Amino acid sequence: MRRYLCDVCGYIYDERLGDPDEGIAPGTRMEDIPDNWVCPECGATKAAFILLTDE
Amino acid sequence: MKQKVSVGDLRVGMYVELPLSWTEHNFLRSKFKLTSPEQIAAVRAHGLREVMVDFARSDVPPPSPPQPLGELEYVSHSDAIVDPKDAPPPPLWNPDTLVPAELREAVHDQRLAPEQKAQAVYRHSREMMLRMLDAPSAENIRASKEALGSVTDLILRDDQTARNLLRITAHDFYTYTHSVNVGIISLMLAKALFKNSDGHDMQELGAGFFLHDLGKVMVDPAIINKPARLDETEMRRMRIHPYQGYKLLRDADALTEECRIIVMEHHELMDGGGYPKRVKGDQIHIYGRICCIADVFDALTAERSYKKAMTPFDALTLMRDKMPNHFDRPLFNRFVELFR
Repeated sequence: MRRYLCDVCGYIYDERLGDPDEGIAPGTRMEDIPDNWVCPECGATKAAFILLTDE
Repeated sequence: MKQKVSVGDLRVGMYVELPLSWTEHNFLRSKFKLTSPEQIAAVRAHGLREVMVDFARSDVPPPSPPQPLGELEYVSHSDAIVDPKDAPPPPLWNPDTLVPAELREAVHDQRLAPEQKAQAVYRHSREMMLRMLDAPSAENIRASKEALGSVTDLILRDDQTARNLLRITAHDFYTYTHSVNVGIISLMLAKALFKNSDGHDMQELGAGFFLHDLGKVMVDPAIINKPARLDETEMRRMRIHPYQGYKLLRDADALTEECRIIVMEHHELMDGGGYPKRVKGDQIHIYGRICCIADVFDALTAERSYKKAMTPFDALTLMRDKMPNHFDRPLFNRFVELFR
């Protein structure tokens, strides 16, 4: 499971946790999230998310 | 005799030994005697909790240990005995202590010559900014914003003091110095552009310029104070500061449209190569474009451990020749005129 950083606001999408409030089940991979999903913190699109590789 | 001292208890005259290698700090030596409050602030800016002080080589005695309570005081008048260790630590700063009295005095003193006035306003504005960035609570943000409004007023109505402020900006690498510099420089440009227009809330504009980097308090101090260029991973973490600043102002109930634009857009570039939203051209509000020019200019003229400070002339030349698509060209030309 990976984690992605929204580089607009710093929100972290953790694949283990998903985004249940928006119907994204825990365990959902970033590439399987619909393209119209936006960052729950700041509204940035999926393109703003960067894989965290430094952890 | 060496003793660990919390950075909050450092005093001028103490001989400190930094627990950092020479490449990790910005001082000439790792061991030295503190000679000014600015140096103490500089030590604090490295994000250390405590440093070793050699009192044999200091001018001041070690802080006295807490006095044991006298016998009478053991007889408590209250049933509730509070262990001081359990009590919350006192806040560093609050709205009553945050704004230096000298700042208010200097702003309103009619007798000070412009040069002295500028010196005092500059020094105490930086002091206030340092305190607020140390303790960026909602009420401190609001208190500093109000004080910055009065500094803004001064810059708008007193041309001579304003010119002096522009001339004396310091060129160290601290966020609080940079914040005040960018506030002054942006406001001078806004004043030149909007002086015959009443369609702008200059107070809010000024406060927004001074607070443009507020969100840096949410970025790891190790990245903010890194004495070298940031790598890509560190840059990603740095890029969240515009949004974090917006969020802090919003949550402090101190956000206006002017502040939102400035805080969110001061790193957006005309060619779309900026951040965080990568907007371009006319999508960037003129307030954001103003702050962007002032921000880059101050970064170039500031000294870093890995680069020398540039002269204003060299900085302007580099911005014109090497960054042709970053800035709004007519705006940049007006900016250059400020330094004639």
